[in-house]
Amino acid sequence: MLSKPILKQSIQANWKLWLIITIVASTILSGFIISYDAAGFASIAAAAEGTAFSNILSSLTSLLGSLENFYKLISVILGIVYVVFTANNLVVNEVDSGSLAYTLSTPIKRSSVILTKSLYLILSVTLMYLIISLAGLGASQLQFNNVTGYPITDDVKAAAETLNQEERYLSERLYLIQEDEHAMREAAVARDMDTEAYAIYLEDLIRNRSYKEAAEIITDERWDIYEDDDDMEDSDIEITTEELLEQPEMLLTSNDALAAGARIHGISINDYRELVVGEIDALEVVEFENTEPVEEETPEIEPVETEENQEETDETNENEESEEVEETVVVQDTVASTPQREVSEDNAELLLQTVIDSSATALDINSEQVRDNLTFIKDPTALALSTQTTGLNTDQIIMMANHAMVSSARSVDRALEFDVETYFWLSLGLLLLILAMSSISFFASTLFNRTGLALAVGGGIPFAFFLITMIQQLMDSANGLEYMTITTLFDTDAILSSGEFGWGLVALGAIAFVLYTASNILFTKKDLPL
Amino acid sequence: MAYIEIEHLTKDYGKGRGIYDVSLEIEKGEVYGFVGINGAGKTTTIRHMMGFIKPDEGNVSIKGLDATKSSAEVKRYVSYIPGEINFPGNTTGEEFLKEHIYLSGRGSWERAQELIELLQLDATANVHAMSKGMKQKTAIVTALASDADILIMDEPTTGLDPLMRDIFIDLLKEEKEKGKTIFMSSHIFQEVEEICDRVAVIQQGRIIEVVDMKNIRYNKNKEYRMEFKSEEAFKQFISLGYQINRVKPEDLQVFVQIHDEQINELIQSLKSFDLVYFKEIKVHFEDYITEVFKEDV
Repeated sequence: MLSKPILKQSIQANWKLWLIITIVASTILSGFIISYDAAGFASIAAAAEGTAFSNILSSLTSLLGSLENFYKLISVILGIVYVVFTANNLVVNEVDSGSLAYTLSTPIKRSSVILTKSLYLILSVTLMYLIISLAGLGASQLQFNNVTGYPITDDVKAAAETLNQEERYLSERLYLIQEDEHAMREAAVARDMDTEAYAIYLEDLIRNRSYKEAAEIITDERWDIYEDDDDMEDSDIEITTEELLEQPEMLLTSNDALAAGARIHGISINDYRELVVGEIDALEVVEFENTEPVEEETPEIEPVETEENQEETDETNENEESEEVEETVVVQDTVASTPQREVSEDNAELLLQTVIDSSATALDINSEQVRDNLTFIKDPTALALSTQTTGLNTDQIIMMANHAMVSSARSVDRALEFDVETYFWLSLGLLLLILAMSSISFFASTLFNRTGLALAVGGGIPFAFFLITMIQQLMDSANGLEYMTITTLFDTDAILSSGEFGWGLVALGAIAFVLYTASNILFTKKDLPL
Repeated sequence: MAYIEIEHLTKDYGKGRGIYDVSLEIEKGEVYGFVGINGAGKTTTIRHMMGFIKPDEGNVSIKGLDATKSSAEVKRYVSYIPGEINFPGNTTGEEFLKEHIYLSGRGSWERAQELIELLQLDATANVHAMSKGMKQKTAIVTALASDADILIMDEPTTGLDPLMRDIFIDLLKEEKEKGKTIFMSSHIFQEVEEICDRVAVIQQGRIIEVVDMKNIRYNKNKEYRMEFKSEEAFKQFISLGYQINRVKPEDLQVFVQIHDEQINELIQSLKSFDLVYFKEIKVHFEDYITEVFKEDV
């Protein structure tokens, strides 16, 4: 049975440390989230692709992935500090100093004393991590608006201003940007793209979102159908966006899914149905021909020759980087009517780098600036040099630039996605880990009668776990260390990559349950030197 | 059945430490002293009474309730002063007192204020900032203000100055008049002698003697010491046949033990002798205990 006076006393004695740790952890998490530089990480990760660093950086390419250090180290050590000192304060300190004699000389049962103290620790830890999680959620929502809706990116902000619409409203109706030329221009500039690349990006984004929402609805419908079917695994029932992209015909079976997709496009259900049918046909053609599986982005070589343009380009070339050349975007290289080279997956990265370097040389700026704003590649001067150095024709280069811009923008978008479910599991896993740590401290606190010994064991074990985790994170390799710490049971990598993590969390919960129960039994039976 | 009954209580901590086969009976309304040197087993016995530790063998019952199994229920009738005092929480003395009175479910704040006044305690200080004496006073106020039927106290006068000790003894006498049962351990024989009805003596974990203080206070066999002026008189008196405990021939002194009924006879006999002085030798509990310990060793 719970004892209110004991609870009150526990709160009075421990609230200060609780408050400090809660504030510190919330601030650090919020700080991590607010300072997350999606574009920066995305470009670093893109640059490091295929190198030894890509593994390390891959975790940084999403907002939640970038929080791994917080979940594995910072919040763990803060939690350990709280639980170790509080667990000591609650039990062994009162036994050692003898002040528990007063509590036990009143008609309060020992069992309710220890139960209340256990519950205080469990509930205070739970509340602490709930507040920390909510702070993170709030920070992300305030900074990126990505918790309750689609992230409000710079282009949406710019377009919202132009269209005089609410950012929030517009972020759910991107087709409104498509419909307005002025908004398109502003939005493109905001994302460091030209209108051409931005149009491709926006179209791609809308298409993806419509499929994503449709996939969710189809999954829900399938849940209703197959819920009681034992033969169906959860993953069989679930339809992911990728699966739907491969088999768009699934869309046609669900009116709700069509409606959702149509809403994203801002068109009628019938129009959307036609759009989907068109995509199905396109897929079938590809499958039927079964030639090289050409990806959409693969440039098709149809060079358009215009002598006048070429001359004009040469003139501007000599005039140096004049801003007026913007109107002569469609420029073609005379010699490159047939490309000397094909762009393939293998050489794409290398070619892009060469193009960037050439553009930088041509425009007399450095490569970083070009990488930050790939529209420089489309500058006629830059194009001229690039065609020479790479042997590609201008269309290929422009296509390549567009592709690079779109994919970089898309990876920024992806990085900013806030998967509430993943966040929930990260938060719950962290809470269970800290509860398991607290149960170790609490057990030591009830087992021993001397503060020093209890602190050494009840603080030493969780701290050792933390140190092992830290070493493991630093070395970034598995060499058996992971079997020596319970933080391994909280598998952030698996949670972030939607892998199998459930049993680890169950084990953490079990550790906490067993040790808290054992503490309760032990304390009611042990001899107290009071 | 006695009000508080300790039966064959044994707790062996090894290496000869612990208590062995301790049996005591304390009646309602009695003031029971528990004496012994440090480490004799006083605190261990008291911890059993409070249900803080479990006996290896034997049991303690208070008001018919098992002190170990029904520990929480027993506390409805018991107030306690621990041997080493520390208060829980981070509060002032006053707050602690109020909280404790509330938790005990008995006693009154008015009584506590009276006691605070009497003991000249500054109860507004934080309990952690208190000196040993202040803590002791606070503990005394806590125990007495909670108005329990039974008071169990482990060396309650440590840290008190002699004046405060007298006040405390008076307070205990008051409690005794109210019909409270008091069990207190002490190593100061004087205070035990002053208020206790019975005293148990514990040595090396075993009860070696239970002394009824009436027998010491109202002992009818008294000892008298006298010195004679002449050796002649000295020798003559010895020959009279009184029970003589000791003689000091060089000082011409004689120690005579005699029952109160015979005192007139002795005085008649002494009329014919030339005396230097004649006085009663008072027996104190302390002397008595010292004798007991001496015999034991």
